[in-house]
Amino acid sequence: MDKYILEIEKLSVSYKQGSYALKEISVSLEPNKVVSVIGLALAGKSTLLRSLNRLHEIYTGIRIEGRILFKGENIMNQPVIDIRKKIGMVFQNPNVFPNMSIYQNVLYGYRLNNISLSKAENDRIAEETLRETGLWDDVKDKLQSRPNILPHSLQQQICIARALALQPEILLMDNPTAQLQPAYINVVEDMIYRLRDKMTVIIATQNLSQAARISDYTLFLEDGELIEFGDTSQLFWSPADKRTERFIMSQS
Amino acid sequence: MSRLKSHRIRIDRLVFGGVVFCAVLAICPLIGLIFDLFVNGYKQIHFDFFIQVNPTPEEARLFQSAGLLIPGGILNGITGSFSVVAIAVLIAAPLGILMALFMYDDHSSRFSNFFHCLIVSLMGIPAIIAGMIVYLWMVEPFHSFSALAGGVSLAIVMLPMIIYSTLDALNTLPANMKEEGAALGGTYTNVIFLIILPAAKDKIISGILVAASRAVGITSPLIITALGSSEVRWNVQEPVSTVSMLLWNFFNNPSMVDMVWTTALFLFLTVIVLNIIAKSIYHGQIHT
Repeated sequence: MDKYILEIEKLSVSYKQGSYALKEISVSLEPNKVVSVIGLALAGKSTLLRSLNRLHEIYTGIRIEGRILFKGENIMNQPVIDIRKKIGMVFQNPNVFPNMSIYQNVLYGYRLNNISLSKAENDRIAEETLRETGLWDDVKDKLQSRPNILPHSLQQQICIARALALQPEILLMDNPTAQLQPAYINVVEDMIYRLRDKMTVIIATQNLSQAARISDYTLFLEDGELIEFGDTSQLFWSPADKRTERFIMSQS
Repeated sequence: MSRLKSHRIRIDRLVFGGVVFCAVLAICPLIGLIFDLFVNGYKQIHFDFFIQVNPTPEEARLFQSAGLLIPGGILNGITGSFSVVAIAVLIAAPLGILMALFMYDDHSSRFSNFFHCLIVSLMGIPAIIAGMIVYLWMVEPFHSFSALAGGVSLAIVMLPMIIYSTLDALNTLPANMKEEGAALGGTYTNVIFLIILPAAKDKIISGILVAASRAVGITSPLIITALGSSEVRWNVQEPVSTVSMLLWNFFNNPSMVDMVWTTALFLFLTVIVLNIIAKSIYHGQIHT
């Protein structure tokens, strides 16, 4: 067993020639931890997350340098769909698939990967993941309804359930609670807190208190540069870098 | 002060009255058209009209001079329209959808911009020119007019319409639906066929129906590709008549004026019904 589940080595990403969205990021992450990525808007938080599951590849013209090792192996040397299955992702805006039921939405990762499961297995996975996200009691009677009938916040949880259904080893969450109502933010945070038993969670957030509440480690980005990475309480209470301190002071 | 106010109110009413008047004026031709179609067209509506082929000019003259209804109907036109438009949809829909998918994916490249320009110009091409091109491509080399050639010429007319309506449908989807699919491990093919197209399905189908309803009324390219026939034919390699072509034939024959109105009414209602169905699908009132 490797000590680190993810090792990022000198990762640089540029959207157009000459300007970097990320500059030589190097960091290693341990398994079964929650890691927050903090920083201002456009600091490169989303860019970092999207590099980790190779999501940049669906667009042309994005240059990526450096290496990312997932369990010691370069992710570029593995089939991209395997990487995306093992490294799941949740976006800021919930995108439920409108023309299928809640049940189908949750299990759609399997369909997309051409994996067919028995009815019993499907039912088990759907129930397990919906329970995990705290949605089961809300939707157990509406599994065959379209997800658009649910409030926005619950749609986001459907999206989280959909990512969890594939049992990823790392879950990337790009500002997942930015659009949610406060009551649901707590539900999602509780869930993230519990998820560390099963996987590594990397969450980009603009909400510093959220980062402080739920994460074991915190990574601070400024203008595409990694300023500081370390234990959350240490980073918040006694940051090693002046820039981190200034950022935390300005945001609190 | 109050005089100024009443003056303003008067101007306001005048402008509003003018707007209503113009709106009514604009609707008048449409209402007149529908009225004329019904008043002149209802006479020939009988069961035979839908199950018999068109009469010959002699028959028509004979019956009309005897003061009887013109016999025969437009069955050959209905079947012909159906096969020609079906061929056109079968050709134009897959091509148009694939083209739109390409432009949706690659919306900023130069190649895609070039495509845009090309499609806009294709939209402006008169239908008769599409007919001439197909005449050169298909009718002359094979020495035969056919439903297939007619279908191809309509497909050329429909293609840009379908590309545009499909592109519109795709652009109404949330921006990162594709990312969401990719992040779940879907391949490009799976994301397109299992997420993007199903999500936009209703609007795409509605766009195809609108294009088909336009094609039903097109006549000129068919005259030089499908030629016309007074029989019901299902062989796509043989000439056929469509409803719009029959309309043109009836119009050119003084003894068949009554048939013109009824055929026009039929064509009009067909187009209206297709459009209503398309609208209902678009707004989700009918599920496909």
